[in-house]
Amino acid sequence: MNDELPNLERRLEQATAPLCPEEALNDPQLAAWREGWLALEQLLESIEPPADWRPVQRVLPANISRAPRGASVVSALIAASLLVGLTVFGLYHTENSLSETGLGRHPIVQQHTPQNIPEETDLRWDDNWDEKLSALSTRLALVQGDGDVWTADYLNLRSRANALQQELENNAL
Amino acid sequence: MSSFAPETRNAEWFAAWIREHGRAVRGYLLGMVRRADLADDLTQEVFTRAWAARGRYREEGHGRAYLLKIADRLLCDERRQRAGDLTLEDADWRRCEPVSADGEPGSGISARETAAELTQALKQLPPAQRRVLLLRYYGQMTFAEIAKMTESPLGTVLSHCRRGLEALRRLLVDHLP
Repeated sequence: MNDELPNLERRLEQATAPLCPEEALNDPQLAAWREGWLALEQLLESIEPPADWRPVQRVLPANISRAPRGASVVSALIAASLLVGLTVFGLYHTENSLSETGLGRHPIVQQHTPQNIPEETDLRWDDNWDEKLSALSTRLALVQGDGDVWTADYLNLRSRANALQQELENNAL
Repeated sequence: MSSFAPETRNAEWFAAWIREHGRAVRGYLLGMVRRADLADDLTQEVFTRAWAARGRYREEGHGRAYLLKIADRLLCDERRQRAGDLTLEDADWRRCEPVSADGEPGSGISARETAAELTQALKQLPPAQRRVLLLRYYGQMTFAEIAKMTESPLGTVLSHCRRGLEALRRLLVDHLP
């Protein structure tokens, strides 16, 4: 068998060569192999890619995909910047609103804004916290009471001013 | 192909390689996997790997064999990952059939029938036989080189080639006038 191997190799090389010598085809077996080879050639030529097939554009995916990846990173950075900007603007706007309503300046409000309230890590009934809430309610009532006092004083003064104006108009003074 | 020293292997060198061997690599892969989209993807991967390893390649005039070796290894990896499920549907093969060149109705039918029969024959060829025949056709390699590349005994390679050719011929004789 080993002695036949070089002969078989030579004949198969001839049968599958681009050009087969005419005299080699006198060998019936070699001629049969040649027919099979030519049939294969015919099929493979028929499945060639189209003339405009360009593997270059499909190779080096790293170069092709670099641009979209860079664009997505830039987009993500812009989105993150916008998010931070909107958050800062929102916080600034909220603080100004509190200042305009006077709540932001009131000491009681400042004292009990969320960042000043001690964080509770455990959900349980807390008498101490209940006492703090009561104290806060009392102080709020006092502030409201102060407002009522101020309102009463203002109304009293306005009433007296109106009376003085009426007397001036009547030349009573 | 003009030779390039490793330090001058740039995009120009690589583009020349693709022009010279791109179709052969793609043809070999298509013949093996019998799916055009997969063959295109694998061709891209072959050249990507070749580009990554360009510094290690030794220019000895066997560029195509080198690329086909990469393609062959890639196929083995792919086959392992897909558990051998690398087949072409009949519809895909029909898209690969040749059309009549001279426009005569009879010859067109004949060409399509021929292609269909050959297609069936290739489908029936075991992958090992197809591999040897395609490496011989696209790589223009000797059987000794194919044996070395596939790490198979020369006798096995010759046997695959002979049986493959006989199967193709048998199908032609049996089914064509």
